[in-house]
Amino acid sequence: MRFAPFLLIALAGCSRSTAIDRLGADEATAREAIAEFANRGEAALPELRVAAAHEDPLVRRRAKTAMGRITGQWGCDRGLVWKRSLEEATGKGKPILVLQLFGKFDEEFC
Amino acid sequence: MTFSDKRVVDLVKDRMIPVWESVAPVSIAVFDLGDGRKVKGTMGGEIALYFCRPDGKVFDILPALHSPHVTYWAIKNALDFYDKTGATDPETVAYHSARLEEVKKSGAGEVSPAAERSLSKRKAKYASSDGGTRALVEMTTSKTGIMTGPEPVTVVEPGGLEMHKRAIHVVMSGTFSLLAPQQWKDYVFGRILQEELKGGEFEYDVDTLAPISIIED
Repeated sequence: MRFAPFLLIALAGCSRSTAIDRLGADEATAREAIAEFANRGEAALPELRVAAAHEDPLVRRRAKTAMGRITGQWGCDRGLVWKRSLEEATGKGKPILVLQLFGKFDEEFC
Repeated sequence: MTFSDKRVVDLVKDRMIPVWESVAPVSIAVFDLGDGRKVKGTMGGEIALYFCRPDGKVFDILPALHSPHVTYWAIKNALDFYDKTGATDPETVAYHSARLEEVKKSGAGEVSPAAERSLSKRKAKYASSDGGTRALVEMTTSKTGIMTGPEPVTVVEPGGLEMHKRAIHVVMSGTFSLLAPQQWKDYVFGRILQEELKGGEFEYDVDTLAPISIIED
């Protein structure tokens, strides 16, 4: 009986799905997982790189969406992190490259 | 994709701060083929690249999507110019004036009679067709994103590099003070790329489509 709390914690840990698993779940769960990855920032990119090669196309697409939230470019993590406005980039002492496009660069079909 | 190309990415990462700005929603044409089948494609997704000083003022522009090789050299040349001159207002105007004289002498970027014929034919087709046919022509003659199952395929036909560069030299050699990218967008998309800044999703009935010749159009 005195081991019950430890058993419950262990069971809770086993039933908890990973963020990658949740990318393949229903829309609401996947949205939460994407937000979780985005909050982790660039540290989440190695895990997302794996998810972007997942056998499930839905997981692949959602992983690329999460990558887009982090890097500013949908599905890409080549080390470039895009700013979303010129104001964020000015006055930093470096020349600026501005890409103007239809749609949003961090979304699919831009 | 240009911004997945290692050479382009490395150069930008080392030397510049990259920013993107949306000029309008992407245009999406949906053709309902019946039985739950749909063909969906993006249209006319032109882009423009602006090379700016750290204060955000534009000193050179590369309109339209080009190959990674062309894009790399455009970025490299812009950075070389910036390193040598700081891209001050007078240096930038002088640079574009000198380049304009060169292209005038060489004839680079002039619209050939064949290109003019092709453009006017395309415009005539636009004027006489319904929305669905115009969308289909646009999809087959510029950039096409086709839904083939879960992943999109994008086909890009680049072109017009010298013509666009000439147009930029013309306008920037007559500039008195440098502007921000937002101040350029109407000119670059409307006048140089001849693309309206509007987008959204449009659904077309396939029965309205007129026959088109993909090769000719």
